[in-house]
Amino acid sequence: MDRKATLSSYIKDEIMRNPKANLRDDEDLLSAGILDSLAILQLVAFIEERFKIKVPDEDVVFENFQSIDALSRYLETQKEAG
Amino acid sequence: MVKKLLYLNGLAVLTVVLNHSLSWGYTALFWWTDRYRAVSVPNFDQLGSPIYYLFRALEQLLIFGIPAFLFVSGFFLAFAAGRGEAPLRWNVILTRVKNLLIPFFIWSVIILVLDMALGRELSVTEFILLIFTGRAADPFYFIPVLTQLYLISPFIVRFARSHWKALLLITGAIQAATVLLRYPAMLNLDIPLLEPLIANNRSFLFPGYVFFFTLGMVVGFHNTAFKEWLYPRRWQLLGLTGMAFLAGVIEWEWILKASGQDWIGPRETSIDHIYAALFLLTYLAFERAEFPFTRQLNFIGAKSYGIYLIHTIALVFTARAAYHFTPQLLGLPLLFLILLIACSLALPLILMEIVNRSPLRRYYTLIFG
Repeated sequence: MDRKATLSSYIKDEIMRNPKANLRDDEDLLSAGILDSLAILQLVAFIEERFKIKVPDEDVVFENFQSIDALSRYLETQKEAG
Repeated sequence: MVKKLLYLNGLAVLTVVLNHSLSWGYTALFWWTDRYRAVSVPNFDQLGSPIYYLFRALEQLLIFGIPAFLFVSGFFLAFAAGRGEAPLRWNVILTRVKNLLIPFFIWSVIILVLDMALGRELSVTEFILLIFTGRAADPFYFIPVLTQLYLISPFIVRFARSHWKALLLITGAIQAATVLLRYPAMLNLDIPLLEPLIANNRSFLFPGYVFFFTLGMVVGFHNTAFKEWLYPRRWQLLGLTGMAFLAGVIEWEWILKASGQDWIGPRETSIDHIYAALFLLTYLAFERAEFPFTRQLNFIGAKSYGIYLIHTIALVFTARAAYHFTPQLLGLPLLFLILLIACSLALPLILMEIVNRSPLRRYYTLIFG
């Protein structure tokens, strides 16, 4: 499963609790009410475990978590840096 | 620091559950004494006993629950505002408020209907008023408080970014003044000049908690600077937290004595708030430390809102069941407390799991947040 599909699947299944939900890759996760304070913390934990990367505090910002696209871009930069 | 917030949320909801269980523990000690001893009630013979001081110490130790929730919520808004200078978007705020209020209304209605089924009489106006002022259950005042704080947050954000010291001083002063206004009532003092302020100083209004929320927001924006400042001072902060804890225990005994009353229901004092603020800073200062039960507390932390909303139902029914069917249990305060905690955690978690495994799963966030 590619990165975007993995993220989308986790968000739909574990955060939205609706695997059939219609979630676009560019959908604003905050405006749509999908991510709240706890969901962000869960998502950070999932990303660290699933993608074997360390997400520093400074990177837990809206710009990196705004959408699946943004998250995917962030993971790409981490992969390149690692 | 960020990753420790889920754990903090888990700790916070445990403290809330334990604190409300302690309230029922006090009820068993003083108001239900006749169920296990031949005395008339209320009976305050156990005031000053080892079990009373154990309850008081636990209550004092765990007073940081609501401040911790507010801190995490403020931190989230710093995240939502982003790195730049852009204002906090209203659609983010309104969506968050909606997601907070829907489960709150659902459970407020359920609790009041259950109350009425148990014999409480309420008019339609009272019913509505209790819901909107967060008084359907004792801990529900927190949701109107948080809603108000979310709604004022777009006005606070730019100060949290650029004038954070002044913001903390101002919100700290507002909160301290609000808490100080509680003292005349606690001390049984009649001060006519302050009466209008005292009468309107309600727990469901935000000024009594605004500092904890702005502290979370400020730490969220200035994360690195705070980490660098806190880490070398962690042991001093721990010492100060310990001192504030002791001061809080002593202060409450003094208030009780000075008021001339047999008993005062639990209320937060200025020292409680100082202790809570110091606790939060100490927790953040020790962010490199490994804390025990991380997996379990992270699990509970992720379910904290559902537990918060439902645990009072379990408490009421467990306590009443003990009163009617096993009154001898009320005379074993520690055992009674453990039973209350276990039931008030188990009921919400079981309910959430049932919904999670049923076709209602897609409505999970509407029901439990």
